[in-house]
Amino acid sequence: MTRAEKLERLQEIFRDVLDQPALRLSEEFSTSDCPEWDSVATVQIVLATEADFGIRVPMDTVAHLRRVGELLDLLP
Amino acid sequence: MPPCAAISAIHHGVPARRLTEVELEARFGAKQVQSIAKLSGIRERRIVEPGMTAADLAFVTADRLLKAREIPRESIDLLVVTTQTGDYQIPGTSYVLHERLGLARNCATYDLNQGCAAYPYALALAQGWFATGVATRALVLNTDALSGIIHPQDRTLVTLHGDGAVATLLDAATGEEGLRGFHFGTDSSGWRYLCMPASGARQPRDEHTRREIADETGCVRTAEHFQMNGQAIFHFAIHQVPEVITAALAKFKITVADLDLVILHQANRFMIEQIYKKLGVPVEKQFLYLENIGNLSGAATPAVLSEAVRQGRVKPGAMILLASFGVGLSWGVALVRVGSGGLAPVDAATDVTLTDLEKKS
Repeated sequence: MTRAEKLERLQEIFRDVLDQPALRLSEEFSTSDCPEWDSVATVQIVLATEADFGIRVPMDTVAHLRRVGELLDLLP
Repeated sequence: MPPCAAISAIHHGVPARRLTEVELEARFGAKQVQSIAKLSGIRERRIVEPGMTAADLAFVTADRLLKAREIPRESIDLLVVTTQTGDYQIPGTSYVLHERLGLARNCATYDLNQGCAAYPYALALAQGWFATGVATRALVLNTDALSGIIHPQDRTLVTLHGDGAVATLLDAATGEEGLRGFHFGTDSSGWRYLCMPASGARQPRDEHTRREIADETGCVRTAEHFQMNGQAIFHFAIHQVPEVITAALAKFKITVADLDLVILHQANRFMIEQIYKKLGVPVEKQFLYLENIGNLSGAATPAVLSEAVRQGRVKPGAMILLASFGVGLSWGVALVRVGSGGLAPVDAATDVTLTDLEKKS
């Protein structure tokens, strides 16, 4: 899977969790771009990503996750 | 077979002072407060008044239990106190409570610095004293008043936490009842995510540690306040707790079907429901007690058990699994069997006021 394809799958997750159907996700998209992306949304995004990609995101990454690119780097 | 400890009475106490949604909406805004409440399931918290401490809550709660059950103070030979908000750094709170409760000179005291996982740890410790024949009757006090160490503008913690204490009386089991098994563990890679940085020798308090810092969401705290990385802890609990409970059940050679009640640390409702769902715990074996009191930290898990007893949800012979997790990051699971005679509620009040502190034990 290419990085662009992974970003597209992440986009669906972010649209669903943040309830923003028209959201266009980029690697640089961060918590400061979206007030709805709070700590609860982070957990929901991480859990959905883990289920979708069959991975476990490390606790340190979850603790400091602020930008889409940080999550993208972990995807197989 | 070594002697086994059994829960013979349990009672909880919370401050009478309520911290309501109305007060919090004025402080943080209605949208934020409602958004958190929808997820946490917490609508009201009880917090101590100025002049009241966690030790006070434990004293009143324990005193009520001992009086209601007419327990001779000299019959208690072990006192275990768990708190992270003690009266003093030195001595431990157990000594203060030993004196206030009028316990005997031959009663050993033990302080346990444990957070939300305190209850299984305290029970296991007491069980060890029973098994070695050192203790025959123990009083376990789990108490915390986190409201005093949380910055009033820290929205993520103020909205979730309340103060409270639980007293558990342990006696030697005479039949099948008792503390039937334990399972513990630690992921110390996460200790920083539940931490009060300037609270000991590592970071002495000075003008820098008193400086207020607002994060990008507007939550304010200083290094002298309790801090939580909510997303790390939430993620840890959702994954770790079901795995730990599954491992504990395998160790105990039982399944959820063998249990009558599964009691979890009351961090927030969404988390609890996710864990119940992952474990396949049916609704009749679930019990929540946080909506009107909040997360009581180390007193949370036993407070659920105490309230379940008060509501008649603990039947004679019931098999109960208690699972707690938090600061450390730590977790503990205890398997408790109730005696065939049942566990009757303690006939005493649960609200604690400043007036209660003036009464003699």
